Amino acid sequence: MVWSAPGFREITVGSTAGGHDMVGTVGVVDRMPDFIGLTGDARSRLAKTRLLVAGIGSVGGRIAVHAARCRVGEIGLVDPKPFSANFDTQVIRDPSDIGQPKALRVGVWAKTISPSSIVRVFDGPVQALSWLDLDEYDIVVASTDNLLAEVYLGETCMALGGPLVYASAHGPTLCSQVRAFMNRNGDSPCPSCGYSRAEREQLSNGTRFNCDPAAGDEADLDGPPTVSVSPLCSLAADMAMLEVLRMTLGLGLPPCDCVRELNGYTGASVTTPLSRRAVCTVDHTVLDRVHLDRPLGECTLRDCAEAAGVTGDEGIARTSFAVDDNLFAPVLTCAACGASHEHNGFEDRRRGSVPLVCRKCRHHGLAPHPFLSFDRLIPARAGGLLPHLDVPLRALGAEGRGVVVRHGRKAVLLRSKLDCTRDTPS
Amino acid sequence: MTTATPRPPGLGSLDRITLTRSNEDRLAAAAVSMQGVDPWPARKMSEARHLLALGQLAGPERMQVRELNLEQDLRATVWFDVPVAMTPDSTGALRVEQGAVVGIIYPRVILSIPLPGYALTSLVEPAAGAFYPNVGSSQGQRMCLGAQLPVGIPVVELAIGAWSLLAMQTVMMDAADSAGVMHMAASDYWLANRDRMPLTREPFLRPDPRHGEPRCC
Repeated sequence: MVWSAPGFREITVGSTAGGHDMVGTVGVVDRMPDFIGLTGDARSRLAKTRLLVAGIGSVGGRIAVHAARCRVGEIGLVDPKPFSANFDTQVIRDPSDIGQPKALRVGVWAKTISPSSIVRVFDGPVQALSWLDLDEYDIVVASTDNLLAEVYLGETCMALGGPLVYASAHGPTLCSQVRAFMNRNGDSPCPSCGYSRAEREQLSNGTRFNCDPAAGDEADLDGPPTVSVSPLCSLAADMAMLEVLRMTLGLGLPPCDCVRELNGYTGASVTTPLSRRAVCTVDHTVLDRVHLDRPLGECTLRDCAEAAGVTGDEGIARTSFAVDDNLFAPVLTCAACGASHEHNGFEDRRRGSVPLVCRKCRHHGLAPHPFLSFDRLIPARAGGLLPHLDVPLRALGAEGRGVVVRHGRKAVLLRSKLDCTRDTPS
Repeated sequence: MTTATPRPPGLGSLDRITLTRSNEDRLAAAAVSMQGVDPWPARKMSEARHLLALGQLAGPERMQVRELNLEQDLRATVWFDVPVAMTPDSTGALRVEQGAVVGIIYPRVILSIPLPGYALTSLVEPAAGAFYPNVGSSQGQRMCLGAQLPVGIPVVELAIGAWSLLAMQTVMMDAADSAGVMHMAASDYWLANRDRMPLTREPFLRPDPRHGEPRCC
């Protein structure tokens, strides 16, 4: 089963959303080279690759199109904004694109180029996706316009141990850049490791570096829009997709944590290793992976703890469990009278109220209280839960897509082989 | 020659406040089950210490740290002596109760990224019916302290911000503002009754009897 996040839409063959309904109407010519040093078949490897592109702007839009031309098996596209009338750098194919969601329009285009690819689009900020949504992809490529998204992706990809490639262009210096973060272990760098003091202040202030202000959106910018030229954006996209090809096909030297820059003034390219900053505030924990043979929803908290190597009631009681994208709510509260009702169950954090009736005032709709609910459950803290250690997660209200178990320095991500298509760790 | 009484510590010098024995014990007890990887545990300890020191500085008649948990996030409930505006009764008269318990969740991620203004504080008591433009009326009375909470905002700023919000010394009522409002009916009411704000003009730190002015740096 391949999960789609709430809000992810799959582009289907024949979609008319983009006005380019030419899927399947033309033949396909294969131009994939026999790469030097490649073992195996490039096409089949790319067909098994799942690539998420975050930020479908002047750089990310081109990466998405590159991915389609390489016939990457699954392509996820994420961007919250519509196209503006930026014909200088954006991948606008038709004036009717203006005002339409970028992810959707480019998704339709990608599906047109590669009908065999599964193309999903999400017209929202990447931070709205959960770690489970990101875990459905092998590689994340991003070219976003704000540091918040960058830090979020950096931290989430680090936890999941998946590569992150960031592409960007700097117009005034004619410089295109890709940063590759391999996230192999806790000593790996993250984007935040390289921030200067000024960038940390910009992050704290929520500064956006928007080269594509949508109509009426300029007032939200913190400075003049960033500027660039089409070939520079294209170059950044090209470099990013080449990095993806190297990673996917195992071409050349093994991929490493580095920044590659190409300068348009001199034509010089420079590769510089990236390293972790010792005092980085981002959590650099890479989760160990364990894949279970049965659905996680059928497992109990005790099963999860034991699969992660934690045994004994005392140890389990002090273990933290993050289940799906849920909150654990010992109680649900009534918005009308404030009465608390024992619940001891998981609730999707994205859901509003639960369709239950308050026993005190008969108000319809109870909800987890933000302070009285937990994104990580520690059974010892939720005293009423200890008897439920042997209850299946599904009976506690969780679907069981993924569980993160933490105990001391141990941090393990549990997924079911039946739910997760990501490669099982050796 | 005259000698001045040394100025007592203020908000800018919480580090100088020596915790009472009971507060030291509470901090030590909370640290026993503390989890997390560096630098988070040290930061939690520092923030928790400052919160307890703030409680000492303000005095138990103004503020009491009731719960303190450092296992994952820093979680604290704080009782404040502060007037609390409650939903008007059937005659339209505003009710004001005295005393509130505010829940503060301080997650590790605030060290890395800014969070929405409503993300970290909620009104636990009164459990329902608070009547503020910046306090949500559903899903647990979230308290909005601004459009965005900056990276690394200290816990004591959250605590004082929550007190100021309840006292209506800090208020944002313009629904068109980027910060927005969380309770439209309350926003409309307070826009029409601005003369009733703030609910108290007392400063958070009551005047030091030795100096006759607020203890504040």
